[in-house]
Amino acid sequence: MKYTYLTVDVEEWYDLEYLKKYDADKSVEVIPEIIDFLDLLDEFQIKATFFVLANVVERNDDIIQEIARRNHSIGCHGYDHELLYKKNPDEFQTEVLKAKEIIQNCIKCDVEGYRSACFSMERDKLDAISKVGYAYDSSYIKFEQNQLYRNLDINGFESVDDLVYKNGDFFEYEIPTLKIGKYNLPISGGGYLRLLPFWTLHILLSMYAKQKNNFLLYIHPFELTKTKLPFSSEIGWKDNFRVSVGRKRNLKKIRKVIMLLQSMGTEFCTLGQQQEVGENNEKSIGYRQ
Amino acid sequence: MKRVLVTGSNGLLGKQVVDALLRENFEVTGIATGDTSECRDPRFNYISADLTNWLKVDAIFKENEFSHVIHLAGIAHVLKGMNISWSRYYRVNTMMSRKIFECASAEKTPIFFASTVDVYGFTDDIINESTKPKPIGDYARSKYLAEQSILELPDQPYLIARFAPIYSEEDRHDMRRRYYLRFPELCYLIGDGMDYEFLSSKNAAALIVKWVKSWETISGIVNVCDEKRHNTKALIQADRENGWANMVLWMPRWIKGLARVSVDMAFYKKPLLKFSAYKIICPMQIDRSRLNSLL
Repeated sequence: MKYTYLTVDVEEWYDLEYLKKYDADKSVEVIPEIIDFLDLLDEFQIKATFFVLANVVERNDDIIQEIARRNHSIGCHGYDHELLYKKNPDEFQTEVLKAKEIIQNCIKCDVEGYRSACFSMERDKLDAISKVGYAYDSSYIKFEQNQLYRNLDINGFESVDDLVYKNGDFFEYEIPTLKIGKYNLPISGGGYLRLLPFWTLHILLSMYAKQKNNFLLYIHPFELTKTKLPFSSEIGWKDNFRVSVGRKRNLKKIRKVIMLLQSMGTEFCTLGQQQEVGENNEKSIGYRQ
Repeated sequence: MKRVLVTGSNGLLGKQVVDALLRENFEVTGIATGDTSECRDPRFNYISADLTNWLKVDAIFKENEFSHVIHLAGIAHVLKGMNISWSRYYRVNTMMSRKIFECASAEKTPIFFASTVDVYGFTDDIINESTKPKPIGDYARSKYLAEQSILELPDQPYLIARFAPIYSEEDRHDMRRRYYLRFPELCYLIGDGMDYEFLSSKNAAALIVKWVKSWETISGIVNVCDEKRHNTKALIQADRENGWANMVLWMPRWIKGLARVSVDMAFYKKPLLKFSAYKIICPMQIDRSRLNSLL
C-alpha cells in the first residue's frame, strides 16, 4: 500500500450518537487521556489528522495545543456532535465557521479539514464548508447499512487517487470499506476495529491491499484509554457492548495494526498534505511529510 | 508593584512559602484549584484556577505583573498515584508546567520550579547535580520533562530545585511510611537504623525566600534536602517520647541485603515497584555541596 491516513475524531464518549439517549456523568472525560496514543505516534514517527469538536476546545485547550505542538494536523469535527442532516443549511454554515474560528484561536493556525459527525455529510453541507474556506472533507463512506451515515453525493468530483476525490481546489477523502462480492465491509476503524480480532484484521487488510493503494483509519479518544466510563444504569446491553467491546486492549491492537500497515510498505501521512504536481503533463498527487 | 506568583499555594509547601514571603514583606499572588485560601493577609491575592485551562493561564499572566514565578503546583507522587494515568501526570506536571514557564519567559520573569530527587531513579552512588537523571515511573518522568522544558527557554533565569521527600511538623506521613508497619503502634528498626534524605517544608520555604531575594546569584539545578540525614532509630526514639511506636520490631542489618535480593527477583520486570521498594531498603544519599554553597 502507498499511503495510510490515520485520523482521530476528538470528541467525548458521551457524544456518541447511541449514548445520547442516556444521562451521562460528564465529569469523566477521555480526551485528556490520549497522551499515551500521542506517545505511540511519536514512537513510530507518525503524523495523524485530528478532527476536533469545537465545543470540547475550551475544556481541553491544552490537549489540543499539545496535539498541534507535536506537529499533527488539526481539522474540525463540527461545533457539536449533532447529525448534519438534522441541521438546516444556514444554521450549519454559521456553526461551521464559528467552529473553525474556535479551533484556529486555540492552535493559532489555519484549520483546513472537516469531518462530519457520524459521516452524516450531505451535498449542500459539503458545498457550504467549501464556501467558508475549508480545503477538504473526510466524511464520505460507502456503507449504506449503517443508518446514521449518509450516502454522500460526490457528483462533479473526480477521483485523483484511491480514496481521494477532487472538485476544483476542494478534496474529499473517502473512509475505506472492503468490497466482498456485492457487500462493502467497514474495516477502517471505530467499533469495527475494536470488535474484530487482530488476525481477522490482518486477513481483511491483506485483502484490502489487493484492491486499493491507500487506506484511512479513524479512531476516537474513548477507544484509546482504559478509563472506566460512568454509564447510566439504564444503558442497554447492546449499547454497552457497542461502546465497551475491545476498549481495554485497543491501544495495543492499534500498535499492531500500525506495524502491520508499515510492513505492507505504507507511508503514514496527514490529510491535506496533498498538493498538485504536474509531471509529464499528467496530474498526480504529491504528498509532503 | 510586581508580585511574587506562587502556584499550588494551598498545598503543604505552598502555604508555608506564602507565609514566609509575606513575613518578608513581599506582595504575593497565590493560585490553587480550591475555592478559597486560608490566608487573609491584605498583601495576598488569591486566584482560584485550574491551570490546565491555558486560556485562564494566559489571562492571569496578561492581567498581572509578576516579579518571580514559584511553580509548586502538580500531582505528587503517592502510593495511590499508581492509579493516576500517565496522561494525567503528563498533563498536569509537564504540560501545565511548560505553559507556565512559557508565560513567565515571555517577560523573562525568573522561575523557581519544585522538582524531585526521584528524577535520578536507582543509584547506589551519592547523588549530586551532575548525576545523570534516569527517571522511573510516571511521576518522575513527568517532572523531568517539565525540567527539560525550562532548559529549552533561551536566556531564562531559573532555579530547578530537586526536593527530597517533604514533611512538615503536622504531616510526616511520607517519612513514617519508611519505618512504620502500622502507625502509630508498630514500627521496625534495621540494625542501628537507616539513614534517609528528607526535606522539612520550613527549610524548603526558607530556600525559596532566599532565591526570591537573590535569584541573580542562585540559578541552575540544585538538590535540596535537610542539613543532615534522618536516622530511623532517632525518629523512633522521638516518636516513643510522644507515646507512639510502642512496638518496635528489630531486624539485623543483613536483612537489608536479603530484602534487596528479594526485591530484585520479585520486581525484575516491574521497575516502578522496584524503585518504590528501593526507596525504603536502599535509600539514596545526596551530596550537599552545591546546596551548602548556595546557602
